[in-house]
Amino acid sequence: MKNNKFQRIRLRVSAAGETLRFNAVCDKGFRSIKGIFVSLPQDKAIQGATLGFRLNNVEVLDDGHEVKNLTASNGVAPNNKFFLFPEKIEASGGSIEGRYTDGSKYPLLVDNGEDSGVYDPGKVDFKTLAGYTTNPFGVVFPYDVIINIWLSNEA
Amino acid sequence: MILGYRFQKVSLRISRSGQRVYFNGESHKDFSLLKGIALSVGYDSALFGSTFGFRVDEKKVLDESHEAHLLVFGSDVAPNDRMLFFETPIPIQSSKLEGIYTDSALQSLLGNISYSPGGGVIASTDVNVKKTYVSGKDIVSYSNAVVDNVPAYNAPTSISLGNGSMAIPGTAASPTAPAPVYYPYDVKITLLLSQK
Repeated sequence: MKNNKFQRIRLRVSAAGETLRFNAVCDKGFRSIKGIFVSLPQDKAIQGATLGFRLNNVEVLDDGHEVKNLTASNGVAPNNKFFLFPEKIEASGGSIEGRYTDGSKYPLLVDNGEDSGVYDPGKVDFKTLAGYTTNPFGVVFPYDVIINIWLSNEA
Repeated sequence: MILGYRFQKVSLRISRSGQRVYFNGESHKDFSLLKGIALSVGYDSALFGSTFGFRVDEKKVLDESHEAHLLVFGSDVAPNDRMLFFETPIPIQSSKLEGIYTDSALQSLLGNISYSPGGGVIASTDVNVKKTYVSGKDIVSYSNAVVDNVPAYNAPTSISLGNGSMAIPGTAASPTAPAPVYYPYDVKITLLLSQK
């Protein structure tokens, strides 16, 4: 039996500001979650994006946690790319409930005076946004997000 | 049940240039140490010259002129290194947290390339000193100071030499305008709390 496993969750983000909820079950052959790495195909999609998840109903990262803190460029050595949790998180077969929110809502909601919630495309007229004539981050939709979860049996 | 760590966050919205935003809050009651702090700013160009001050239980941790760009990170830094970790974690117990963020545009009004608080000439028409009034003290109390010793900018020139010519490249600081900052933008402050 191997000591490490990278379990992946792939999400498709179809529209600016979309929030995706997901559920998954950790491989029961591994005792703990060691780290997490979020992979995005476009750098511009990182800004403002958030990812939170709970494991067996215990909050590991809150919903406002920035994806920026969970990813790294190719300038980072492979062994340092994962965000390693400050403590051992018991996993063995635990259920994950997560929520990913695209960051494009961030400037849109700012300009619309909304602080939270899911962006409703019907509410936003890009032409009226100060300084923006289109999505200011130029994110192309749809794009896929891959959430890599590092499971481990190490003590 | 909770885990032994928590990322507590504060989001600030900077709505106009030169704005100073103050916040206060309470640290989560279940955690006894503040181990690190990081800032995340929407636009890189908003960082230059922006400052961030921070206090815990009315004790100064970072003074008001601490540069914000010393607290941010790029994606070429390993995720576990993306914080200013305090050498000695700060004890907290439902502590009062206070911070003040000052947008960089206040500095650009000073016309100050090197961001030296003593440099730059402020035209009295450009700066409304009352807007920068905080904590009973003027932040900008000087109204006439010497500009920093910034190397002069020499435009590229071309010299004719008979049939040929020689180009001399431009030197020193280019007078290009800084990248624009779009308002409003958000500043997110992340605090790493721990139980031990």
